[in-house]
Amino acid sequence: MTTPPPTAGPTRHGPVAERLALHGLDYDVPARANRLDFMLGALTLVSLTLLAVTGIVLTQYYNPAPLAAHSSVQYIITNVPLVTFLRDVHVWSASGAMVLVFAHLAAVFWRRGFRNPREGLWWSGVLLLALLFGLSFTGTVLTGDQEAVEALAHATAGADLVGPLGVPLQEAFTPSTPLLTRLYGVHVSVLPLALVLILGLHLWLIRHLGVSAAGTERALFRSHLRPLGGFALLLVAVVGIFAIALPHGLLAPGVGGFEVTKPPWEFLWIYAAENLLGMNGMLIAPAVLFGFLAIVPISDRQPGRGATVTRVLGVTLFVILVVAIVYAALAPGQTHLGM
Amino acid sequence: MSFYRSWPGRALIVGSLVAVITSIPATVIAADALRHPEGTLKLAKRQLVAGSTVPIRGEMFAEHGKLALLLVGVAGRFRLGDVTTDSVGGFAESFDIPADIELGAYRLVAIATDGDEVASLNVELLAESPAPEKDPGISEDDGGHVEDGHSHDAESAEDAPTDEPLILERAGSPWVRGGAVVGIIIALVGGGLLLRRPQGTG
Ligand code: HEM
Repeated sequence: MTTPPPTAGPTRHGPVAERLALHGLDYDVPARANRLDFMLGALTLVSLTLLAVTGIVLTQYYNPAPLAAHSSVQYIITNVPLVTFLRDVHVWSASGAMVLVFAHLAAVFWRRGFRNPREGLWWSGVLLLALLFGLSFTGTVLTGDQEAVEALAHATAGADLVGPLGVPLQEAFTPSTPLLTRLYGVHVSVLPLALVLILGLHLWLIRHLGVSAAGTERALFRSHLRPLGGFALLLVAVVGIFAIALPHGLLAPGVGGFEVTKPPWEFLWIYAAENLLGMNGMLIAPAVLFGFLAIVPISDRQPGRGATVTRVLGVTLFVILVVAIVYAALAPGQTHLGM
Repeated sequence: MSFYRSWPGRALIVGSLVAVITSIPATVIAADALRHPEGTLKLAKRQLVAGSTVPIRGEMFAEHGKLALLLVGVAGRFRLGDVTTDSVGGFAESFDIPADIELGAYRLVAIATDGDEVASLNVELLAESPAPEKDPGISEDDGGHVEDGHSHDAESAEDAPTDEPLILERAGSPWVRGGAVVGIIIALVGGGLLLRRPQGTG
């Protein structure tokens, strides 16, 4: 039997709430969705909001011309205290978004939230994950330091591997605008726009298909907002603490043709694959991860062998991912370009 | 009947999977076959003065290969000259930068004989200064040719990149730090309170 949503008498809305149509938040959701494992998606959204706000400030100080990029970041760090702090919040929010999105993905995978009718929801999530990786990559190359130059060299080498599809990622694509400047455009407009569109679809589907929480007890969505707000504030505090305690540095201006750095942690699993497979690893590892994520709603549609195999494969891949990140972080640096 | 069970649904799914799975190794293999060594171009300074002579060094290109060096920008493509790499794929030569080309942003590009771009650097072309400044040269530790006007700082940075962060004096302000600390405390307390309050009461 379905428990009716708790109603503490008719809800009173003030004049502002009325004009903002906040009664629209008074729909019921599974009571179980009031737990942290159902809030990881929304917390990812909180990190994305922090990224957007701090990113807008950074655009006022950052110069995307290749010969000026590094010195503009150095200027921010050494001359503008507020923007330096916001840059650190930006970098730590990006890491936070990555941790949270993987936690969200794992939670949804474990509760089989991708099954009928939520396949589209899952696939839109896979696209969001790809966009987050894209944002993280384009963000890394902007500083123009050694890590950035190496990341860019990897991207152009990867673009070489995929033939005509990779042409826009080549310096020679247009003589009027350097690749770094074009990637800046991608970082601040193309990817955020795509993210907002796909996120809109994701949220629309959640609103109309609901989440796959077990149990019949219902609660008002409004009651969900209070703990969510609590976790969101704690997340903001944690990001702020990291930004103060572990500010993000800058390496010397990048020199092409060398590989002396490792990528940011979220790309270390690809770095590990390059250690084992050479440059092709940078295509094969993401193809395996995203290929697997793409077939999950097809291979696990109902209980049975397919479901068991999908779950075992998923857990194995997740363990490999974590082990690869730890291995790559500890292994001595290696050269991949030209391998 | 569900979409998956209908034959067009199945054909679409199987077809796309096969396309994705086969296209990845196919492109990797094809691109691998076409690949040739890419090298690195080195300049002591990324600002080039129109009408000056600039030493350019290259490393890690194909051995004994021919390369054309060009300046490429919106104003067009300007050939600086050709070089032949040595037995380890390197070269060090000086080139005249034309005095009459439009100033601004260019790429210094190395093109292999098959027309492929194998290296590039972003550079800026500046006007000839009234009292011509000597271009800092390139030091060659391996006995190669040495240009006039060494800039050892630029050289050591170009030749020995590191993953050590720069030691920078970070900008700090008690207002920013204090504001951040207050903000963090408010967020911690607010978050704690929201999580403590019984749910559904608001
Ligand atoms: C930018 C990144 C993302 C954001 C902001 C986001 C946001 C959300 C939110 C707010 C929910 C509601 C409940 C919950 O949090 O569990 C949700 C549910 C869901 N998300 Fe995401 N998500 C993101 C990425 C992903 C990814 C990477 C996947 C999977 C590949 C995914 C798949 C799903 C699915 C299937 C549900 C429904 C879960 C269920 O019904 O059990 N999402 N998402």
